[in-house]
Amino acid sequence: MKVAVIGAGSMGGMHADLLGAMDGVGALFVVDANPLRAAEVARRAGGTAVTFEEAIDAAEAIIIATPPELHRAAVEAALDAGRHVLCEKPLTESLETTIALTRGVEKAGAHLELGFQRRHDAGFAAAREAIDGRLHLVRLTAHDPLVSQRPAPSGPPPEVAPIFRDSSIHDFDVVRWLTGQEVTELSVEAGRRDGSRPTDPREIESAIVAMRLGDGALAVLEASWLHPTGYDVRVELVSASVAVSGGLSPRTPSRHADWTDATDGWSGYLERFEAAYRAELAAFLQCCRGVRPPASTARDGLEAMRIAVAATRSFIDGRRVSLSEIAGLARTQVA
Amino acid sequence: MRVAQLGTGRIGAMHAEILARLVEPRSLVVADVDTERAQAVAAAVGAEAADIGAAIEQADALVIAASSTAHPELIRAGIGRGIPIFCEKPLATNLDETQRLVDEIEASGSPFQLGFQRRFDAAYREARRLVEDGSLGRLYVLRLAGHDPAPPHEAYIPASGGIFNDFSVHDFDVTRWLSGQEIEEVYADGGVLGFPMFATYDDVDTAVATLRLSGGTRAILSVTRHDPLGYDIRTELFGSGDSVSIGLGPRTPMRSLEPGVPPPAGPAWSMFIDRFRDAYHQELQAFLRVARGEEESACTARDGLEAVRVAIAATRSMHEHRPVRISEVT
Repeated sequence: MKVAVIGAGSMGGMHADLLGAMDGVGALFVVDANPLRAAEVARRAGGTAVTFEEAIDAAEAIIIATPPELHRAAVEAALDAGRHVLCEKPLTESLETTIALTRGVEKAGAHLELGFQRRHDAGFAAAREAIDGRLHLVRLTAHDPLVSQRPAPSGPPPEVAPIFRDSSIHDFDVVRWLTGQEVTELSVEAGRRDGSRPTDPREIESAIVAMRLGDGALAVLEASWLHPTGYDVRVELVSASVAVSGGLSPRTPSRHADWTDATDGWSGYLERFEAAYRAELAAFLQCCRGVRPPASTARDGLEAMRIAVAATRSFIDGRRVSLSEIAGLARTQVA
Repeated sequence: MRVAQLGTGRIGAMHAEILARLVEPRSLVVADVDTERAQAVAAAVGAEAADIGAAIEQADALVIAASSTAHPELIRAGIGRGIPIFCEKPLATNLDETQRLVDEIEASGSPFQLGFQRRFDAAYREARRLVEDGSLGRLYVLRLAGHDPAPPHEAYIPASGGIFNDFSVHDFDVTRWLSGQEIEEVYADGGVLGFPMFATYDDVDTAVATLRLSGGTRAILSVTRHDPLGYDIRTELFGSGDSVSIGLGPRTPMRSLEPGVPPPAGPAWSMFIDRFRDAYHQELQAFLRVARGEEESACTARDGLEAVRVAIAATRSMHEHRPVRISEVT
């Protein structure tokens, strides 16, 4: 299989490294707006730096890891050329373009997957398998390591807060994927690291999202960009007959009296989810060969984005928001 | 000092057993409206049984764990005698009565301690120390989880005040106590997912609440009336300096599915008497020191009132589908 990675930042670079070491990858192409960076990543991964057009022309499978604003054009060019596409989340930068892209992808019947790697994480997947009996409660925790200072926002506030669009979108996908249910309503409480409540959603650094699912189950997400000692992503589920956790291990960066001191907490997503990213790429390549169905669809990217937009609206309005208020696409397919 | 244990249900019987080890057995008198039960509990711990009036009359301190509806009357009897009083939560079954009672207790000068036993649990105390000494830095978030092993008997539900008043009131209290902040606003949601009997009484079996605190800390609470694996009470504190958890250990009734992570050694906590045995012991020991005038109460009647106000706000939020400020509850 000939594979191209579009975008050679931290995500694209990691994908290239993993692909370079993977069986069944016959040729690896790397594309970046910065040719020096593309060349460096290609050299490291054992691939070739090429232009975007060359990559679309030569590769059968395309992995898109550019900034979100460039996703739509890259996805459409790749799909127009009949390629299989794995696109990093978010599917596009805004709800409007995500709806448009999803509509086009569904109409064409093209193969587009989202980079929701938690679906390929062993602990999360085992939690999903373990659900037995009616689901009552889902608890999600997602903390990125502290970034000392984020850029001050400029221009009018966006419809979707960065923390929800770029980070919690994984958790919103996990809720849908784990439970097989849609989020119907949610309410958000969020603020800056000093506890104050900004008016601009771009300044949110810590957030709690309380969600109600289609079957009446409740899900809560607690997320931040403020973890002082590591990277902490976990899920807990309570159903009628099980209570399980994904992600809880001696490497969880939270100390407790009885178990272990997490002196070696996960440092970041690249380390925490390396196995999941590898599994995601392997599954994607199998899907390209037609031996398994896609792990996710454009629709999954759209629904996660709709939840992120609803969460932002709840924060701005200070009220509970129904997902029916958020634009989307009518269900045209049986899932 | 002669101590009267009033009420000999599950918690009362446990108190009697603990008190019998803390005071001279002949200094402990046990009473209940169910005199046979009082006699049985008294006999089991080597104490004396009496009727309630006589027990109060001869006591130097009261420990109340009767039915919730009887709490105000028994507290007032203690105030009338000017003796120290320990009372299980709740103080009373409605807000007006709770407020009146708190005023009366404060005006009386009788030392008073409310039964929020988590304040005496070793891990909760350690967490509070870490907040106070600055180890946790700025406190960003508290995560609170509470799972009862099984729903209460249906007859208990209508008088329980609902899941937030009956169960989460402990979480609201430790949120205030751990953070040193007041709760200002709550958003809550809930559902009946496993046990339709809760719907009969306008109550729920599963609920969540989001809290905003006066110092900017936020808290997320999730509770369920049924945990197939046992009794699970956990609190995590996440701050700019560290992240710590309470209640996570070999007896936590939750299995991690991470590859290579063994299941908890067990046995899982089965119920509150088991999980908080040491905390109940510590809280009564503390009360006896309060009764002897050696220290101030670590859990006042007003603490009980504040937690109840949050519970009422959470219940209102759940019914009205909106965030509710605690200042609305007066």
